[in-house]
Amino acid sequence: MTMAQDFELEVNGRPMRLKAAPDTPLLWALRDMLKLTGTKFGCGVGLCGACTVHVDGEVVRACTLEIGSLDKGAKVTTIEGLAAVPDHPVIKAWEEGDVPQCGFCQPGQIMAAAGFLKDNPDPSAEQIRAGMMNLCRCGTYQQIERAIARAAALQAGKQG
Amino acid sequence: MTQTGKTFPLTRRGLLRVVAGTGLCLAAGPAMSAEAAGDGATGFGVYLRIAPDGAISILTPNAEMGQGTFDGLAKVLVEELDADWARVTIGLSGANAAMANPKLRSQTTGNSEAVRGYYAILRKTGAAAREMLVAAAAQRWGVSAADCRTEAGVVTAGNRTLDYGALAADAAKLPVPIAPVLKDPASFRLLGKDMPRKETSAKVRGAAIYGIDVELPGMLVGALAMPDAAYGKFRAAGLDAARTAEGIKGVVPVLGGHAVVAGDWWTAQKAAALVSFEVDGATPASSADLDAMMRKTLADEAAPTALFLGVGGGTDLAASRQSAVRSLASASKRLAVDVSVPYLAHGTMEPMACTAQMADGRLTIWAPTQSPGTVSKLAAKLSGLAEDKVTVHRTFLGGGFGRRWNTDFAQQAIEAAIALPGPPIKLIWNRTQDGQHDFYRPAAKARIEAGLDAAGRLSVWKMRVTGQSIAQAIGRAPENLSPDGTLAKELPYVVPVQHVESAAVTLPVPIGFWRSVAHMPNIFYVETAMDELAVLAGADPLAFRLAHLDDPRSIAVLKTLARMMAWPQKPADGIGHGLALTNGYGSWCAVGARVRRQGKALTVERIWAAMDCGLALEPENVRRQAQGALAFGLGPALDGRVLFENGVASALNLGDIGALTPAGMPRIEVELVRGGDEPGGVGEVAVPGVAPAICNALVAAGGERVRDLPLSAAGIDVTV
Repeated sequence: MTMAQDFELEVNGRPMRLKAAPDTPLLWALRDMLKLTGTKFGCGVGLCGACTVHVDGEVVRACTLEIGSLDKGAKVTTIEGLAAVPDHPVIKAWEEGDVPQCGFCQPGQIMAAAGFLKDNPDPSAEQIRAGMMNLCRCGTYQQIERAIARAAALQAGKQG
Repeated sequence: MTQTGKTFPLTRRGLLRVVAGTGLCLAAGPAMSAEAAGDGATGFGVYLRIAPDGAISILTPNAEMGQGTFDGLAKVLVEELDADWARVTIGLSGANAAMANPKLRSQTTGNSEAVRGYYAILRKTGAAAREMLVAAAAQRWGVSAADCRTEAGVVTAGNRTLDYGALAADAAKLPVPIAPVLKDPASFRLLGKDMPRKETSAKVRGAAIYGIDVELPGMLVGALAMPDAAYGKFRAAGLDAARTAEGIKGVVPVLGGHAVVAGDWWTAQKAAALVSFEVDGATPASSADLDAMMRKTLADEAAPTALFLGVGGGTDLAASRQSAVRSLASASKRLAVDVSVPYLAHGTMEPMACTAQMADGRLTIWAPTQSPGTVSKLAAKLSGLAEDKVTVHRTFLGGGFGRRWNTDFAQQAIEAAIALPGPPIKLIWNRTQDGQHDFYRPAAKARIEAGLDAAGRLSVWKMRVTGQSIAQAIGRAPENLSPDGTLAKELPYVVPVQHVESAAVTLPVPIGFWRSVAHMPNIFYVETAMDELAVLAGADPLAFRLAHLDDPRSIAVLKTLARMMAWPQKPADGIGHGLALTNGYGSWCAVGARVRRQGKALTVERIWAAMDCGLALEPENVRRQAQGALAFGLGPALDGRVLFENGVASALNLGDIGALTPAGMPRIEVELVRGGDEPGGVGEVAVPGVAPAICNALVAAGGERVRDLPLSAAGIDVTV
């Protein structure tokens, strides 16, 4: 049904209430209802990854996830939340590496990278290449790979 | 034309609030009107403001779509100004006729012309302001200007110093130097170095505002209902269902269809999907028909044809043809090939989007546009308002590649705002619409007949090219794009008898500028034919090219590439190396590829490029632009092709257009060659080299000669 309903989520550590039709993709709930426009719309079919967020610790493409399918109080992290973490290694590596060209895909790349590094804290170049599938039309793939390797090193340095 | 009012903030936190100054044109000097304005900052012309505390604000005229001009153009000004880069904040200007690109004569982004166009005026602006600041200091201290020096935003004479901020108001009252002294590039402190861009942090943190991200109080959001077909006449059905759908505030006709407006995009999109379209007239043509017409035009020498390059500089088509035909007849060996390239989609990462508001007798537009001046004029025309009642704010662009030079998406938002006055209205296309309503890179064909003399040297080159003409599409020959306007391009090679003709074909497919425009097809034709001729001559492809070049910059990039690739490499089973020479936009590039062929499967393992853009203002950015251009050309070479079925494009999503994914990305290395002292174009010149380099490498790997892109259409198994 398309009638708007109330939903409760925890977004970037804060409880949020929003009104949306249950079939609204999480992407559009974040962008249009919560005005969190860091998560981008690229394809709408889960192909490009520009809409990547974390839901309950998992990497998710928000354009294919209906808000009605989320648990009440589901923990959502967007790029705005990740970037608010002081000295986040992925953010640092991306800024040091001056990775973006047009930049539109980069929040999604960063969210995907952060998730990837959680499961692969010490990845080889081949593992990075196999593990990152977000699209970039500007061709920054080599800078993304280097930034992920750098973020892994920063992360290891913090823990070591 | 003056621009007043605030610029639109660049980021969520409103990082920049700048009040643009007014500009006075001086006959021979930079546009300068040094005026104070409400916020206490002093304006020096349209680009520069200096606050009393020394903070520097630069308004950048160009679209920022990944090329780095937002940051780079500001650096040019700040270099000559001798200010402290750390104190500089950059803002995107709105539409402002005073900020026209001097080479393009409009405020347009394209043709790799940002630095080439604005370099001189930005240097003059910075240098003139510096001299005025020095003069103000000198006056205050009772010394001569020659006793003063500047560095990092401070004027110094002996042990006295004054910050630019303290001097700005006084400096602005002084005469504007007509011919300020520019720095010797050898003494540049900012340019020529690499450092992270000013907008990187905002882009990384999701704070940068693109067209799709515009948020305004009371804003409505709309989706589009458009026919699936890219061309043809259609009638909408189901508009009432859309109008009465839950949450819909309005359904209004706009260019290409209807805008369906709601409080949020998903609601609007669901209602828009209720609208269907029936063909109203003839069934639109399919690719088979389009291709047949092009083949017919290619073969029909009696079709209207323009002589692009005549034998011996002659201007008579028939005489030049005869001359070329005679030379071919007496050649020792001949090559006759037909080559073609398909329609391509742009596939910018950010789909088309634009916001407009008609309120209180003013029309305001927020656009991710490459053509703000055109948008401004269009808005005035559509609304009937005088242009000073129109404000165009610019956002970052999530990719452009030439697509956002067109103003269709802006026109839709303007029309929606006029039809629904009051609130701002943001329209966003879905991805399928983006692929179906593109201004495609035109498909094109060439017929090449070339001859070698007894010594194996090129004696004659006769080429006929056909395809839709962009000049025809936009209603004028773009003076700055002469090769593109005429479909053809001059060869870099020395050939005694050269004849190049072009026959534009009129087809219904909407076409436009696609990164490197007509350089890409032309270089594909030439650089694949050159390899075929090298084979005929029994010559190495590099040596064959070098033997026909007298242009030192072409020679230099080829030789650099050869070193990078260790050309010629010893033959190895299934491995092939190929190369191609490109030029355009005042720059030169040689591209090499290494491929691995296993049966019908092809893997592109490495790409090299030797890039000569003259003076590289930011070397690492230039390398990355070349890398990005190579990736951009690689995907379509492998698997990029838009086909039309009754007008409906096959580009339904980003997976259909040959967009390169991480899996398809080879290792790419770029080296810079400094072949000149002026900056050349950076963003496009490498693109055309990839397809021919790969096709040439495939042959070297024992594979077939592909003359019709993409490789996948020849049955080759590629990874994009």
